[in-house]
Amino acid sequence: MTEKKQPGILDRIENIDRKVIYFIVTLAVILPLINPIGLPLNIAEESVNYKNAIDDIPDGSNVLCKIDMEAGLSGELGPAGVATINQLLEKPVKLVFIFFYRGDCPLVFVNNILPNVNGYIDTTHLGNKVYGVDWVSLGYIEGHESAMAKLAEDMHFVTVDQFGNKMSDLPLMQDIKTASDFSLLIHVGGGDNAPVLNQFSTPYKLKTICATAGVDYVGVLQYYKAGVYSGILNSLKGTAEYEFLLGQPGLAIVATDAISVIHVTLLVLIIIGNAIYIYKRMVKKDVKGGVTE
Amino acid sequence: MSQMIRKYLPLGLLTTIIAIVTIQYYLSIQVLKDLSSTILNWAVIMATIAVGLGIINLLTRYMRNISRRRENWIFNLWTIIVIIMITATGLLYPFGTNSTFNWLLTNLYLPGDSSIYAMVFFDICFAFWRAFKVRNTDAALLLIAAFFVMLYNAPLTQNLFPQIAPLGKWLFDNPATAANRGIGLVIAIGTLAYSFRILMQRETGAVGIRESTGEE
Repeated sequence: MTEKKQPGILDRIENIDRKVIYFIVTLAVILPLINPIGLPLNIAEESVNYKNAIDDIPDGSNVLCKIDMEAGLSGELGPAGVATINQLLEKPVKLVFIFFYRGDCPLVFVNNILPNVNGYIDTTHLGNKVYGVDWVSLGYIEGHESAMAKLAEDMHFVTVDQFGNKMSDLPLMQDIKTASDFSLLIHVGGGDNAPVLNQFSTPYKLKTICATAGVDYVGVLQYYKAGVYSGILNSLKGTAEYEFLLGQPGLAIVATDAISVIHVTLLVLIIIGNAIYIYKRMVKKDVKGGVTE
Repeated sequence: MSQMIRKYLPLGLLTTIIAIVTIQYYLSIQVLKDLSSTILNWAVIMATIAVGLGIINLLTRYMRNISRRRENWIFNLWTIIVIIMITATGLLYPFGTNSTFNWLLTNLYLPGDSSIYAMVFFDICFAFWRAFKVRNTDAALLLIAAFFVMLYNAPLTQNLFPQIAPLGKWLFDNPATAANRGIGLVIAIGTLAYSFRILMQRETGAVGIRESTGEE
């Protein structure tokens, strides 16, 4: 009868219980949030351009805002939405919010984004902006790209707004007919980049900026490099840079330390995991080749 | 006659719609613009109807699962209860903004959606530990690229390794962007080719008919 070989220390580390990894990454996220480190930020050119695009909007213009994210993404993109609205509130511009991504996006906007905006009282008053006069939310429109195309050519294609008000009762919407009545399109969301550019930006020559999720960054970057987007924010990292530029530290700057620590933790895990893997492979090769240690 | 109705009528309709919507995008012809606008209206209405059809389809399947006590039927039952609950409260006055409807979505749906998304993070971290290994040359290349991108993405490592971290930016700006453009172009050309085949009535799959047999 052969005796069962006891696993070595390396085997035990390699096959560590997943709960241990979960515990380590939980600590890596929570500790920097409780005790911020305050690491310096390197400001990317694209974040500066995002801020400048909003700064450059002429007074009295209309801005089309597609702050379109589901609840799952609001942790990553919510701060970008909040910071963008904060900057817009400081300017004498009128805002129209639209949603095409998913049916719950307007709810995320009302429940997760607006309450964190400076000067938010309720959905009737957003800072110094009055609902219906200075800002309007059209709510979710089913139909994705077809609906975008339709709305771009006729902003009155929807008859009621997100809160059930008739479009004819909203003074702001009386001056807005098509997408060409806007000076800037702001797209904060994970996805929909090509449809937005195809249906709004290109046909109506609408200047467009975008805050995107980390996984979509490369997809957005190609348009920025081509000059289609005037500025972009890369996930929480870009939003932290934007908050810094605005001089309004918010949720993203707080989260930046956690992002740093979790990145380092993952890098360490990758290095240890691979070191063990390579070492075990080398030992196995030596044994196969007849060389004993 | 049957062939005409089943194959050529839908294909002809499809061809006409594609032609109208595409041409009006590039040429400013008022008649085509008006037609395209009406077609877009139809598309939006049909998309909305499709959501309703999807729900009916789901309910039919789940009801069957429940009546036959198939595996996990209890979750099917729960789904039906939630659909009914949300639909019923959504239809209460004021339509779509009723406080009960908002409460359900705000306090059940939104936190649930966020939690599911957040839970994925833990599995991704564990996958980094278990699966991200240098098993072959492809995996090694992926790992090296990921390593530099991670160094670039975190402010801490950007400051700790100012000479190495820009490599991540270079990877984003050049190989990743170039590859993405390539993929984008391939998709665009593929879409054009597919649309052209529909226009030429060569793509019967678009109307649900198999080319070889002519069967639906």
